[in-house]
Amino acid sequence: MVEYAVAAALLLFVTGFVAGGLGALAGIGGGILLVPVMNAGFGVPFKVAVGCSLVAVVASSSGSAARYLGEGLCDVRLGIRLEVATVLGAIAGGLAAPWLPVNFLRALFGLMTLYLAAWQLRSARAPVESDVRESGPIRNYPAGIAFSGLAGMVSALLGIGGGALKVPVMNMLMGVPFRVSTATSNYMIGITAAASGLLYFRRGEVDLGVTAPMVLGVMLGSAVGARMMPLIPVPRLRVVFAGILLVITGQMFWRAAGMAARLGGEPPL
Amino acid sequence: MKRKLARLLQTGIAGGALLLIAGTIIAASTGELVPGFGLGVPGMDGLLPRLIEGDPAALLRAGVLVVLLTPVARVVAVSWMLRREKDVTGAVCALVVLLLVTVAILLDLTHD
Repeated sequence: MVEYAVAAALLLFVTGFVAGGLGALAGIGGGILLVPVMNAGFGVPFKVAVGCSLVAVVASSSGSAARYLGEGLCDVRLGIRLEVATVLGAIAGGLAAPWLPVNFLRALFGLMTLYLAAWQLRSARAPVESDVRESGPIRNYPAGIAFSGLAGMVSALLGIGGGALKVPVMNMLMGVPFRVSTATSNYMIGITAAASGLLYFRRGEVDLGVTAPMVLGVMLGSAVGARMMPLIPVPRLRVVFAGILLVITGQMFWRAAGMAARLGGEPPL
Repeated sequence: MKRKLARLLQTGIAGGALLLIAGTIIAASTGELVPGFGLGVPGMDGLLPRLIEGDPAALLRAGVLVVLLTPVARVVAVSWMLRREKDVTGAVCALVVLLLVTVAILLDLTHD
């Protein structure tokens, strides 16, 4: 039993390390990778897996944001303004969920992430891309706030982190440089994940035996990822981000088709 | 401001990591760390004495709590710092975020 526990803890640590590293590079929480591994790989009940992954997302966000803040990559003022819209959207999404056709929304979101992935890949092939590391004048502020609210709503409705939408909103719509967008997204996702995580923690839906090794892996992974991010050329970061968007696309179509629920992977909404 | 916020996040993450490492080592050495089967989630009552005794579940619980509360402390600090820098809109935004998060937790508004 002790051998099993140590082997399982090591596997969870490595999973957390990979998710933390990718999350720090792409400005996402990593829950999209962690929940299926815990649920399918370790048989952790879906709700408990979500609770554990939220703690990991907070650790990843805080760990990488600490580094990005130190390097001046995070736009704190923009982040806090967009956070208001995101949290409001998340609350609205949570309240509206029982009345909305969630599977249809998943399919729609899958199409959107597919389009965003294609856009990122096309941008990665652009001959020259500037590597600005500070926000200039922000454009389309009202639209950016509206889309951040939508990102919060989508994350609450579909059970994903909002980073997949926040990064494109800041980069494509508001003209924030790609590195600053991913760093600011990383910085922002911590508070929304903490709100949900505290709720799961209060309900006792955070398995400490799963969470501890995974979060330690995430902490190390996000520290390594945050050190690497400023050194990686923007086109390569875009490819990493596009890859994660394609994983999200696959998961959204899989869940929209009801496959996860049929296999006992998630409770019906 | 950014350096102070970075230090705050580093402190929170380091504190959480220390508690989680201590809890994991003790739990693994006693065979209590079995993923998927739960270690039990002890209540907040008597958490401090159990922490001092080196109870692994209490150490892990405290570690998770420190990790989860770090971004909340960050929002409080941002509000205070922006107010000092006379960015009233930013400071109010931070307070609104804090209020919304508190309401969401208290009313259990987060969707599973």
